[in-house]
Amino acid sequence: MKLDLMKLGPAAIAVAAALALTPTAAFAHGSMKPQHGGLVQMSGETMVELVASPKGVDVYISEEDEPLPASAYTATLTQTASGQKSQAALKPAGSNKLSAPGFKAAKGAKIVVALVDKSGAKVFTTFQTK
Amino acid sequence: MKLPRILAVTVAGSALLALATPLSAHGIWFAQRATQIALIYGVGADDLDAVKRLPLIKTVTGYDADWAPVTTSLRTAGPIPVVDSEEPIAAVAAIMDYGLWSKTPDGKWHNKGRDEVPTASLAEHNWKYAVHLTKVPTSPVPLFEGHKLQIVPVDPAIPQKMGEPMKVRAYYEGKPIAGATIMSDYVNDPDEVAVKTGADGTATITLRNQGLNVLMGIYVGPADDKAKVDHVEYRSSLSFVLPHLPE
Repeated sequence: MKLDLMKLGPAAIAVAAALALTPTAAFAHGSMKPQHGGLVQMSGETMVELVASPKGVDVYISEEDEPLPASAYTATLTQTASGQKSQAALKPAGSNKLSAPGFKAAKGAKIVVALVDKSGAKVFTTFQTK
Repeated sequence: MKLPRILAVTVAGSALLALATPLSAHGIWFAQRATQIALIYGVGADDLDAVKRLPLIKTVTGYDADWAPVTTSLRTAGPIPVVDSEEPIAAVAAIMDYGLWSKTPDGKWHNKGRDEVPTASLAEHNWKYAVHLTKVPTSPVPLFEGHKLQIVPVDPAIPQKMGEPMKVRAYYEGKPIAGATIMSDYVNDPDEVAVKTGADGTATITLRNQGLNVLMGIYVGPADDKAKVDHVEYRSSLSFVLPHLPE
């Protein structure tokens, strides 16, 4: 079905022109600079920073430089190292921090952070440790 | 104020088109919705009610980059079904048995076989398949169990720029099939004059979008039950995203 814009009037032409000229949205996703000395990855709009230390693994989450409330998520950490998988729950630890105390991140491991929000939407972020 | 009139004309036109679309023209594919991978049922821009059709989904399977299975399911999230996997997936696939459909001379479709609609001018069994690649494969895309028709990139290194050619092969019952229709953009150009696969089962399409590409393969095979249908129509999508420039 073809619509003749001239017959439909000036408003139609204006709408069509506006649609044609709408620029591609350029969204800023915030800084990719680590804020806690860890590894940083983006997953969709969410920036995830993974910090491994002798005390365990911490994860910080933010969007467009704004911290996300850790308490709004359930999260898990899955590490694959030398063909072996290990998993731990990441618990909210204030502000935008989730922690897995005592979890040992191996060198050269693949670590997947799974974040599930209250709606059930899940995002994965994959890290390769050095 | 002309806008309401324009909208009314547009809506009425869309409704007419939707009514005129034969049932078999609909397919399933995967696309991103609100960061999740959603299962879409429709044709063109018609994103129809996939949730109510979930009982028709026979399998949904996920795979990692090495094609090892990943536990995967569909979760209803409001009006759309979304993929839920235990780990990141490199590919997800689904099979839908859309059942038996008979068309009577008055133009109506009935969800029954010819045995129950003896006046039918056409009776068919519709199967719909979907394969979605979330990243460029590092090895050949395998044929997935139960996918009677599957469209596979001949070279797993899918070109990353729109406008570039891409060669695919259609497999029917695990073998290359000639004469299958390959549509290059099921979402944005559902009425395109599509190419057909050659003797080796291959066809070359032009990648249309620097974004979501939904290729659709269509093949009409012999009846699986001659008392009920004239033929079986298989409709199989292969979807993937070409990345945009860094922001």
